[in-house]
Amino acid sequence: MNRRKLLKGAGVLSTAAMVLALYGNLGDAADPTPVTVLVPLG
Amino acid sequence: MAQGVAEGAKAVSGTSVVLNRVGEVTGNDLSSSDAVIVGSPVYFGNMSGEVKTFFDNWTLKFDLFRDRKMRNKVGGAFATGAGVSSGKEVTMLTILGAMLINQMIVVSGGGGFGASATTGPDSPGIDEKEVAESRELGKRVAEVAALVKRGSTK
Repeated sequence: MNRRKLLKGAGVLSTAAMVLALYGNLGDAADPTPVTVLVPLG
Repeated sequence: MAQGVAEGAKAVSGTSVVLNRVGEVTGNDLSSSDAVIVGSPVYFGNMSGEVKTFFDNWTLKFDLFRDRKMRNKVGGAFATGAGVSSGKEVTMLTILGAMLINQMIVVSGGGGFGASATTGPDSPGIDEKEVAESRELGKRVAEVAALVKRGSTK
């Protein structure tokens, strides 16, 4: 792998890591918080 | 209105809804819930006697008040009244007041204090805008309940 490809690969990886760090919360997306809502009526 | 509230809450992923008459709700129903959205007709400008008894039972029958067992649960209110200016806001505010005294976290949604519908001769039945408000209330309460629960488990 030449130097240019290596640098490009590193750039893609670091950008992906930054996006995940800023916006990623895969746990929340995959596991919605279970909530019980009670609706009592008069 | 209650159906709209339930639909709105169910639109939030992970939410289950239990819909029941106030006279049939148990202390366990209340203590096991994450949020409570109480609906009342307007009687003489305020919540109905049945709904007031329901709140009184939080301490008299269910013993939830002494140890603040409803603390940090999320609350909302909705009301139906015959007239345009007949007490719907008073009804919602007194429901929210009872929740505040129990140290619940009250939220609005739909209208300024919750969702409401005018059902008397001037505006018979419940129209689509009022149902949409009730859906907004249910959704907001479920969203905030999920935020509180997620925050409390971290």
